[in-house]
This record gives sequence, C-alpha cells and structure tokens, in this order.
Amino acid sequence: MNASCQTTWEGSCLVASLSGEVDHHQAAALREQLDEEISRKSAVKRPIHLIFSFEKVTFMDSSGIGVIMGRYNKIRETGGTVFITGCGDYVDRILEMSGIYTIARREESVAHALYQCGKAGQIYEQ
Amino acid sequence: MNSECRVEERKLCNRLEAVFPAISQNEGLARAVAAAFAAQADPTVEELTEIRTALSEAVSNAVIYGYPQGEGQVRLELSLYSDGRFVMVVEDQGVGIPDVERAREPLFTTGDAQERSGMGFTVMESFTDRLDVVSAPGKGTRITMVKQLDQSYEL
Ligand SMILES: Nc1ncnc2c1ncn2[C@@H]1O[C@H](COP(=O)(O)OP(=O)(O)OP(=O)(O)O)[C@@H](O)[C@H]1O
Ligand SMILES: [Mg+2]
Repeated sequence: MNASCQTTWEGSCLVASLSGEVDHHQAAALREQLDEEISRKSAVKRPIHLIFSFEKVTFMDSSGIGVIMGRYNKIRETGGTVFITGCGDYVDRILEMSGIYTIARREESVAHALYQCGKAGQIYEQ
Repeated sequence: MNSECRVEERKLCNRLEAVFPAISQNEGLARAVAAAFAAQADPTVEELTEIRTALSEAVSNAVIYGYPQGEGQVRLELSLYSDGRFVMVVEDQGVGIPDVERAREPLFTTGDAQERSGMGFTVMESFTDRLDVVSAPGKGTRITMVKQLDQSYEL
C-alpha cells in the first residue's frame, strides 16, 4: 500500500495528512511533496507551522521519524512550530522512543493544533 | 542448587525462505510476507504490528546500507516453532558494520542525519524479545530477531 499525503494551508499553517504505510520506500516522495509546499511560502519572512496528522497512517517505522525531523529543520528556520496529531499507539511509541516530542508538540487533533496556533496569534493570511 | 533442568519441547512447525534484490520496493513486500507467515500462529494485532515494524527496520537497513556500491540480495528466513516462538532472520552480503555495539546505540546513524534518526535497532529491540546482530566489514550482516508469540502454535 502506498503512502500519500494531503496538504492544505490554513493561513500560515500547513496541515499534512499522511495516510498508508510510511516506510523508507515511501518517505522520499513524502519529503519531496512537503518540502515543495514549505518552500512555496518560506519566501515570506514569517513563521510557518506544520501540523502532521497520522490518523490515516496504517504503518510506520523509524523512517517516519526522519520525515518529521527533516521537516522540523526547515520549519525551525522560519521560526515556526511542528505539531504531531492523531497517532495510534504504535506510531506514538516509536515517536516517543526517538525523543521527537522534545522538538515537536503533540496535540490530540489538527483542530487542537490549529487552536494553539490561533491562540498564540500565529495564524495569518499570507 | 538442585534445580531440575527441563528441556522444553520445541518443534519446528514451518519455515519460509525468500531471497530478493535489495531495493526499497521490497520493504513492503517483506512485511506482507512476514505478516502472512505469522498469521498461521494466530498472533494478536499487537504482535503482528511489532513483527511488521521490526522486520521493516532490518530490511530497510539492508537496502539502505548493505550495498552502497551497487546491487545485492537480501535473504529473509522465517521460522515458527510449536511453542509459539517466531524467528526472523534478515541477511545481506554487503559492507557489514565495523562497530556493532555502537551501531545499536539509540540515535547512532551513519546515514543522512537530516533524514535518518538512528532508531532502527532500538525499534527492533523493543518490538521483539531478542535481537542478535552478526556483522563484520566486508562480510555482510545477519540480523536475528526472536519473538515469543502468546499462543502456542498447534500443528
Ligand atoms: N545491513 C547493514 N549493513 C551495513 N550497515 C548497517 C546495516 N544495518 C545497520 N547499519 C548501520 O547501523 C546504523 C544504525 O542503524 P539503525 O537502523 O539503528 O539507524 P539508521 O538506519 O541509521 O536510522 P533509522 O533506522 O532510524 O532511519 C546505520 O546508520 C548503519 O551505519
Ligand atoms: Mg535503520
């Protein structure tokens, strides 16, 4: 089963809904797609936030950590925050082991993450 | 000490061997094969997830690191024993690992540090009951993972 990624912009927040099997084979395409989206708006000198949704992910191994980490480095350059939402128990266990939650924020849902961004005055049209 | 030493009766019930090229397309295939093979022991959903994840780590490592100079093969061997013991072997004939102890440490990676987290061995270790790594430079790498399934397999 292929992994795919649906992306939508909510102002300055990029919402990335992953689905399918996130492994080393699929990671390259996910990276490329996300980096393209991020670079579309990173010319604007304001923070971009990235909200991952893992709700539709049916499988993930350590390659998924790399996908988040690599994107984190790009988002950090803009001064933005990375959110991780909708993880099942196993995805969460793998992410927990890697210590990713020390750099990315775990939220219950995309809506919760958007609320956090909005509260901090961090959503604006660009 | 006067402990009685009982030899557990453990019979090999089924075995499967597969050899495939070390290309990333085969990572999903290897997971599917292992899941289908393990299914005959009626594993729990949790056990199946752990098997697929641990195997995926070993196979991706062989694909990513085994043959930097070109093409190679990966050998997968799955065995199921009567007491519910499930053994997965993933082997390549590639470059090998110079320092296995170091490679097994969490967060250690020789890959692209932006994209690889160095958590593969840690995941294999925590999702199985036992992980053995036999490797030497130029001699390839052999990963053996043992998982004791809850229910014993009945022939
Ligand atoms: N089959 C192999 N052949 C050669 N080197 C290997 C092999 N498997 C692992 N290694 C070495 O061991 C290191 C650690 O492997 P591990 O799977 O823990 O992390 P990683 O693959 O680098 O990152 P991740 O799995 O988190 O994406 C690798 O970076 C690599 O140097
Ligand atoms: Mg790995």
